[in-house]
Amino acid sequence: MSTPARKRLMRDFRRLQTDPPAGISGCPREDNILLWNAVIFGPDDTPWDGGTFRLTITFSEDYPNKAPVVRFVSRMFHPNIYNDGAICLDILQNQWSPVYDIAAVLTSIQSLLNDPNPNSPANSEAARLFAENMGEYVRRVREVVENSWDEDGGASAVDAAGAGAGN
Amino acid sequence: MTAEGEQQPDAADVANAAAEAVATEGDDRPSDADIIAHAASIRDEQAQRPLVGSREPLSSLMDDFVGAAPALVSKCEALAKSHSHVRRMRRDGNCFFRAFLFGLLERLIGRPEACAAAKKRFGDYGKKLVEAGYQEFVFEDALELLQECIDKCAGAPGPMDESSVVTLESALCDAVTSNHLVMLLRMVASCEVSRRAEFFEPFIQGAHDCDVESFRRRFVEPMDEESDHVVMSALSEAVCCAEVTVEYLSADQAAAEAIQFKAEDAAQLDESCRVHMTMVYRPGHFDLLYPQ
Repeated sequence: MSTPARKRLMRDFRRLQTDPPAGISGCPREDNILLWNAVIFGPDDTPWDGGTFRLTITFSEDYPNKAPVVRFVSRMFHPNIYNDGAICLDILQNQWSPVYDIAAVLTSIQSLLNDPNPNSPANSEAARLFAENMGEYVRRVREVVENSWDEDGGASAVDAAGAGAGN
Repeated sequence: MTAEGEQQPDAADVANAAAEAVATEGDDRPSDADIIAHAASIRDEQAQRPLVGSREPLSSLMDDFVGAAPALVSKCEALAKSHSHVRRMRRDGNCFFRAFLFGLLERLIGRPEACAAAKKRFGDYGKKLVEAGYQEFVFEDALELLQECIDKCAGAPGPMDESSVVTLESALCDAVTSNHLVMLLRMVASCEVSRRAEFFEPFIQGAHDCDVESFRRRFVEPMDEESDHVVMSALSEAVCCAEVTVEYLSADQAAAEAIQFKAEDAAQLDESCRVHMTMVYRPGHFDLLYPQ
């Protein structure tokens, strides 16, 4: 059935395909347009450089009036990302607005990677290291970057998303 | 927790109680937890109610205040001299937008000329949204949906045609349709605030202590955020053909105060294209009112 949420998601997808922002990609799963796989590439010239981080995005029929649930599947080490992959980001919670599209959401998450908000720690260890021991913090980040290359299904998700984005 | 730690809850309770006592002494405001719990219970209760209620005699509004707010009862009595019915909106933070939407469409029923003008106005506003930086795909479905609703109103046999009103009621009680249209009106209001940023800025800074951009992102575009003067004024300005009179029932005014929101350009529109609606406001909520 073509509900407003699904119609809007098709448009989000088309936009993402025709005008993909650098370093992000995403596409709905074949069997359900409310479930998306996405990949965010670590921003260049940062400790995250080279990482290919997989995420899932779950939409409800209330989209775009309600924010989607975005979660990292790849293991992360970041002050604002919980151990289960959930993300603490204002625009995904109380600052959500229906004018955001998926490209905007993924781009915001991408910039969150190297620009954490130490005031709302979701991972206290990462927040502590970020504040007190940058060397160790960077080492732990590099670890998840390297991990992101050989996770199960990582490569195929990148391929699928990459193909979706027309790359 | 260690054995010693077991003492801590008591200590914490004492500290909390002390903190609460201080808070209560300072002012009578409930704690954050109380407020959150109260808001959640209101939300749950409201979710049982229709998004748009059916027309009820004005006395039902009065019943809300009997015993609770005698000042408001007498104001309702005064309202009853000129108004006969009330149509309740769900108290979900979108009541102003939903009342506006329903009020507008209901008053377009059976008025093809007014429908054509409203349709054109919204169509033109779509271009303004794009100029203001909105991506077309975030609003075009909703705009199309609204225009379809207006077309249905245009096809009705006459103004306020009963069966068309019933159809409109059920359309706007459907959460998907209703919320989608509210979303569009929120974008329109937000865009208008941005277009007249210079005018609105002092009001926004005074009331919300934030800049125009954050106000739009935090209070206008997100669903379930309550509307204030700025939003009401921006929306009536943007939609132009709709004039909103708000009967303000406040506990501290001698008489109900009516505030009009009317676009500056409205005078240029022919009366046959204009829509007049009245809402009743008491702190926190809007409903639609019907004149006698």
